[in-house]
Amino acid sequence: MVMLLTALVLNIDGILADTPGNAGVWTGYMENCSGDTLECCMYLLENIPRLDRLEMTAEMLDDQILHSLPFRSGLPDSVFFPGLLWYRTAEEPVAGFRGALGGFWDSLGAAQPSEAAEWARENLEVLPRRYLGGMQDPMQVLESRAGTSGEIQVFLAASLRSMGFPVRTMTGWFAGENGGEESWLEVWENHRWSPMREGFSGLMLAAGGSAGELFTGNYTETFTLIVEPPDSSFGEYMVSLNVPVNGRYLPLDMVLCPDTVELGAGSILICLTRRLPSGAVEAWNSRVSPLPGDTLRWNASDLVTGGR
Amino acid sequence: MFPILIAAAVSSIGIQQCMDQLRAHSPVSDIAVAENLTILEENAELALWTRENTPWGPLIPDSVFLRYVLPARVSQEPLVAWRPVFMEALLPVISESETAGEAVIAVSAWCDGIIDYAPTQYRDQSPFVTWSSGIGRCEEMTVFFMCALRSVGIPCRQVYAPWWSTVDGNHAWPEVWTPDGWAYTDISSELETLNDTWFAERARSTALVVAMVPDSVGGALRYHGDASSVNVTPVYSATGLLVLEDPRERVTVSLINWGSYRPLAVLDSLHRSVELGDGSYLLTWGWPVNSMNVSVPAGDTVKVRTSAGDLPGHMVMNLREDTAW
Repeated sequence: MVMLLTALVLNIDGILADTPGNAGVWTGYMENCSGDTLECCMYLLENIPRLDRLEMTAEMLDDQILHSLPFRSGLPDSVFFPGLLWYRTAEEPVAGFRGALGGFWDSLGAAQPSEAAEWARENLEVLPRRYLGGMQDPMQVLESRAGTSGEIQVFLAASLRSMGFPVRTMTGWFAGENGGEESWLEVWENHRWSPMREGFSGLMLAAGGSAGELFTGNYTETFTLIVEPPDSSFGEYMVSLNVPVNGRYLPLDMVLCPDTVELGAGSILICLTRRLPSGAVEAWNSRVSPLPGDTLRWNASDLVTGGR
Repeated sequence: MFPILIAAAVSSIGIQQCMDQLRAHSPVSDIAVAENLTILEENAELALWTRENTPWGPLIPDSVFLRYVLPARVSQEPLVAWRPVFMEALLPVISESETAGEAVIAVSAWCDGIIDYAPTQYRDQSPFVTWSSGIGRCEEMTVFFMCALRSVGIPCRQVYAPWWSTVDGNHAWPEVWTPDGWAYTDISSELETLNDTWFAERARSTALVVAMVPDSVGGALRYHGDASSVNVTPVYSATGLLVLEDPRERVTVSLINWGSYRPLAVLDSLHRSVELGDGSYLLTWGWPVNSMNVSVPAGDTVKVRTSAGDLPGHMVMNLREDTAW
């Protein structure tokens, strides 16, 4: 236990050293709190992205932590920390939002995820995504009553967390004529995660949560792909998995060069490539279409021998 | 401050015209918030000051000034009041520079003394964060460098290679405008001239280089509602022209990078041709996905028609077909 605590403190020291210009906000906050509040502050310090550490203020920490703790009771730590205390949804700026958003939903008498989603659908204008400028934070979306689809998702996630519902963001890669990359929210209700989206036809890969784990099997029937690499004489190589969508192949970069991966049961283009001394790329393309429950061994050497 | 001050007034552009330009090409959140409007107004006044008080300022045409000196933003970084802070630091750095080219080299060396490359995070950090933390990835370094250049009145724009042809990865860097035209550069304390950086060789074999222009530009690859992606590949590499003869289909042009097919451009009825660096490309379209390999030699015009085809089992891509491999 003592060793564990020492390791944690050393880790925190390292993180603070990598928080130039803003370490004082964190140390000042931690010196002035204890118990659950301190635990939350240390969780955020250890887990949020570096830029968030640099931009965080004591007021924002107060907003995020003090408005999360009243909802902690009854939630497992594995849900409370990465789902409720966690404030980030996409690439929005760091901002306080819980106190203000909680007050907003109270004023409307709304306390359920479906009510927030319906309000957002009816009251927020969907804007096209442009090039200049980053995402709006949740309060800016509320004030302007408008946002890109991504910003509206950020607003909705922030709203649910302000109401006390843990949320996690999922990203899915779908095959098919209407396929592509999409993201949706999952909300923790009745002791389980439920997607705020319907229809997962064509889903080949799903990843999400604060740590980017794979969740494909939660949504669709899957197969297991085992990649057997080429022998060492082949040199440096890459194996990529690609999903056919209207007009092109969509790379599954989350699982570049996999050993074993669980994927939606559908057609996948597997590419074996190697960079030649000239800078050109030599590529072998193969398609597999396994059935649900299959375990497929894909052997690179077979492909190279057969393809040249 | 400068050895020669050129006082000739070449323009009637004033604060009002600057603010009109910024309003038309800024995110809604920049112009809806009073505090941000104050930043934009100060930004415009100081930009106008550099135009009148640097040797190169009077040589800059109005259209170049409005698009490439005046903007308060480069890409997706947060809006901050960077111009007065950078001006205070940079005006002494270029006090001996008599030309824009000399000033670029001095500013580049100054940036090299402040920041280093390091992977950071997906979200763009502000130039102040790059400055205080001393690190940024290439896009963040470009934002920082461009703030430094614009703070002393040098027109510049963000340029990037979405994917290199001969190595895995990509890069972003600034182009600067001088009376001799556009030139590329990057942060380095060892620069002696423009158009000579560490990536010059890979840029010479690159497939596509895109400049971001904060305006609507005819012939652009794409207009994003506030900025245009403009194909500037011929500045860097010998190019050929790929033309789609039957634009009923929406055709994606890709090359291989990081082990997968990476889109470079889309051809359709509105964009029937694209200039590309000498090399071979994969064209894909329709559902189920059809594909075709096409070689685009430098100096040639290659006309293609979409006809059903499948990916070959084995192929060599990116460089031209007669390259020894």
